[in-house]
Amino acid sequence: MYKQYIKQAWQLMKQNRFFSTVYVIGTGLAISMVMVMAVVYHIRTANIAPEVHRDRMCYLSSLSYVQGNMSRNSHSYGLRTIKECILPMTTPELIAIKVGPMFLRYIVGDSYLQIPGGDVSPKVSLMATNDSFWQIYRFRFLVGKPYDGADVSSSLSRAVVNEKTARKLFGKTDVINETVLLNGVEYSVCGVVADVSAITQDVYADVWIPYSSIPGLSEVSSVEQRSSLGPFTVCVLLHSPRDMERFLEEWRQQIKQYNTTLADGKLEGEEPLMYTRNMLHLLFMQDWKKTSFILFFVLLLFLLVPALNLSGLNMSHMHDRIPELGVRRAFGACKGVLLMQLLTENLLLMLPGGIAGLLFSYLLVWLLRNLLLGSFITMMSGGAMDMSLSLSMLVNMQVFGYAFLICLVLNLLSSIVPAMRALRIHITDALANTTN
Amino acid sequence: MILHILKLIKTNLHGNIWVLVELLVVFVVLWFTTDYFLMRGILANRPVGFDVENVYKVTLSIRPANAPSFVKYEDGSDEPRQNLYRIVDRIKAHPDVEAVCMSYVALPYTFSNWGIDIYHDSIHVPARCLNVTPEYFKVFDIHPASGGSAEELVRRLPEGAIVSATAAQELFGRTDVAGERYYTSESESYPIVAVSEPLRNDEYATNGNIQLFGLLDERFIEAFRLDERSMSYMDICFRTRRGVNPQGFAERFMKETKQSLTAGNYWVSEVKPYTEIRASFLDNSLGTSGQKVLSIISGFFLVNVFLAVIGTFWFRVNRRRAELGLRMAVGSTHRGIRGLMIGEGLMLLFLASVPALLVCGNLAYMEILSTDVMPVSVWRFAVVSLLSWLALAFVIIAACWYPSQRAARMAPAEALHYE
Amino acid sequence: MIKLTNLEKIYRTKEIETVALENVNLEVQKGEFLSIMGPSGCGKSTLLNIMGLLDSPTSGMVEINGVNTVNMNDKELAAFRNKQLGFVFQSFHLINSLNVLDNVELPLLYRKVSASERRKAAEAVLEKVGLSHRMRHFPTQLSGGQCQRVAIARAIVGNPYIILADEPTGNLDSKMGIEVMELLHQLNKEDGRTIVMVTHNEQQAQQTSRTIRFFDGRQVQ
Repeated sequence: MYKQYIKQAWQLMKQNRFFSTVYVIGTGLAISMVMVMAVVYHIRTANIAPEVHRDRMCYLSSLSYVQGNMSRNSHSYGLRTIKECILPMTTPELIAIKVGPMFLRYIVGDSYLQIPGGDVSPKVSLMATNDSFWQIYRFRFLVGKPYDGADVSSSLSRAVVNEKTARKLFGKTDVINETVLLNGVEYSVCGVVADVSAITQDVYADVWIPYSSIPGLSEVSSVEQRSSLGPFTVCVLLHSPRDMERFLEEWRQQIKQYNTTLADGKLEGEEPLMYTRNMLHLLFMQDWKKTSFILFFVLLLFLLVPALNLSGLNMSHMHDRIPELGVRRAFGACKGVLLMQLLTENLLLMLPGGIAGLLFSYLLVWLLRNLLLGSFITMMSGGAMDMSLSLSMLVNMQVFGYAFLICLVLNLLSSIVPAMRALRIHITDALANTTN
Repeated sequence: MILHILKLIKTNLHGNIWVLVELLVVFVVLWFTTDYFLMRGILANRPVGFDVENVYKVTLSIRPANAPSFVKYEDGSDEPRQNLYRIVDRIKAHPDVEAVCMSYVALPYTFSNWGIDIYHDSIHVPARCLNVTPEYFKVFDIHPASGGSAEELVRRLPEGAIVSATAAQELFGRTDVAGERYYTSESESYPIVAVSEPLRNDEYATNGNIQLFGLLDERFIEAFRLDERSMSYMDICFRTRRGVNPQGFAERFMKETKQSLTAGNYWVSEVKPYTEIRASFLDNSLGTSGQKVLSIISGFFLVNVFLAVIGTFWFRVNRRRAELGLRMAVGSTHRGIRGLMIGEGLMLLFLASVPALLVCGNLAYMEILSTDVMPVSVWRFAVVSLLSWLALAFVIIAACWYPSQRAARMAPAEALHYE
Repeated sequence: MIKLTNLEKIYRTKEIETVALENVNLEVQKGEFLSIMGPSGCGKSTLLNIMGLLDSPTSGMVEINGVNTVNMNDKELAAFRNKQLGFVFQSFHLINSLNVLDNVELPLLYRKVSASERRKAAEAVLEKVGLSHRMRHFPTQLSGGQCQRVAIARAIVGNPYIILADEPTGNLDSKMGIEVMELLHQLNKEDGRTIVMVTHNEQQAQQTSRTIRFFDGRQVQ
């Protein structure tokens, strides 16, 4: 039966070239706009290497120190808070800490890398982390390995560099135990990783070093406020997304407990959110319900206008096929079967448009990647970051699934009314309707 | 003729209703984007005040404390500040450099700024503070509001505060306010010594254009307790002399001065043309992103309208072959047939635009439109409506072309035979 | 086979009420070849449509093969038409986007019949109407007579008891018309199918086993 539909749909397309062209462009356009949103959503929220655990991660990055009811200092987590309050938590599977390139720039200024005596000193994006960072995120090591817990605790000057930087400095990637000068300070390279794209913005950098190797980061100040607040972001990996409630509870408890050890003020942290919600929050500065509502509305508008368009076309096209529907009913097709046939046929007609639209949406995402996939951080850096898109970010089952789903919705929106109306026509009228 | 077309539309209402609804929705969307683009266009054409051609920005870096070559100065030593001034002096000594300035969080085309509220009588406005060395006005070629050269502002700055024309207008309602005083609290007031031309952070800045210039000198550094590290955040910019080839100048300059531009723990790590900074700021600003997104959205809707109209009319031509044949048989020309179809398309647009304009008018009345650039007026409403109408009309005429061409090419006999 | 009792059909619009059929009582026997004649607009096509369950009467009873069909819903009617009835139309009503074979298979598509069986059945009936060599062609590539023979093949592929033909030769020249009539007679005699045909052609009517005449919605003979 479906083979018949396909055959007929193909014939119809061949016989009405003009209609088919307009229809394919129309669906392609509709689908591409929505697919841009879907692809962006996918890239921003799916587990993409090195951020392979986004579905069960959350970030702690906003903390305030409040004194009395007047003074409030807001920053991120300090080393003392992390050591006394965060690391002892039991709910998470792993906890990593890092200072991203943007904060680090405020602390150490721009960073330059050089081989001793070398001419080139490229400006690099620097990130300071602890050892569990390498366990939470899955980098592809070309050679060597990350620095370990012992390196971090003894403040060794070890560095992981990316392929691009290694090639720029040494002309090769096999540079284990070579010495590099980071702003004049000697570091030894312990690993070289494949370049990561700035699209995975939480791990993006050119060079990663133990946070303890930077004097400004590893000292715990004796001033309560300075040791409690700091530049660190805490990356929490949960055993399962369902642990979030329990984690929140523990986190509140820990902060409360920690506050009892403070003399002059107390800490107030912004309640952490799961990765996806947090991302939506950062992008739209609204709570996620409102954001979802706005996104849904935009989505609807993008689908509705083309759906009106295609409805009009379908209406005209259906008009030409009314006699055929009459014949089919005369020979024993009931309305339900015919409705299914029309919807299936229309879906088939949509597939070429869907594929074209998907490809077009890839092009759009690629062209607008700075805008769509960037963040405040990439914006601040003047867009000079490596925003490369890998094939697997775009071409995967999940994205195809979204595309098919959108085709289906668009199909229903655009063909159900014309089809129903065509089927409401009485058989005898349908059969009489031959000439025009 | 119009009545005739209206009758045709009425009889074809079933086929037309989709196009009508679509035109209505698209008209409203397009109306908003037209308004946005019009306002952006007007804004972009207003003067910015800052001239960044032939201006270069110098990035200062500082050695980390654990670097072997790190020079440790005693607390309170003046040496770091002197190192900074040494670098500035050396840049100035370069034969191609006309003027050098230092500033603190005071550059155009950046997201960083800081400010205070300033008062006069009962009026108080938030002002952006720009702490600069006098040459700043020469580097960015900023003139006094009353005309005259940048030199005048350079001379006046050490005597007191300079406000921009916008600031003077907001505070005093006039721009000739040299000699007046502004207040930062009830007891604290400062003299205004000159008024600069209106300035904006960038082409699309609508607010934050109230500038208050103060002198950047030792007292400022002391008052802000800027230490060696914080002083590296000082921005150094310079303007090249007239006639210096800007092509590759930054690289040439870096190469020539590599050895000399190091002092104490400071060293110049980068020299960048300011035009590049402007370009990347404009590329990444929210407004530009919005413009890109809105162009794509309007393009998307316009193509949709095009497809809807071309599709509907194409089918109609096929179905009305007999009617068209008859028209030709009774004496209508090919051009007449095309005119009829285009007329029908435009009439559809007209019919859709009536309720659409009602919707737009209501939305404008509800103060949904941005008034950053200009207030919502009948004039603005009319121009925007006309522009969106013309854009859609253009698309509709383009879409009617092919089907009407097809219709006109049909021989009357063939068309009649079809019946 | 078909029994119509007190049949009445009235078309109503806002302004006027048109009586298409009035008090029609008719019985068609199994194996009969009945022709219906009458001027245009006399209600003969309406009658055929009602017999074919394509239209419902305003009042009265339609009994086919002993089953009262008046209160059937769309699905039941569709299934009934599919199994018991075959249609031949004046303007052929072939589907232009399907080739001959697929057009003939159409009624079987709405039964649970496998693709290969459908194919076999369609080939068999096409052979019967003498169009085996045209199976892959599209209707637009065929002559009128060939089209009507494809339509007849489609009408009989599902093995219906009754064939309803609405002016089957109306759009054909006389030579092709004769071919089609011969085919219908052959189906009636050899396969014993009941045929009801609306026609304008007196000569064709005389060849059938019984002729009834209509005038202004009433049976006059």
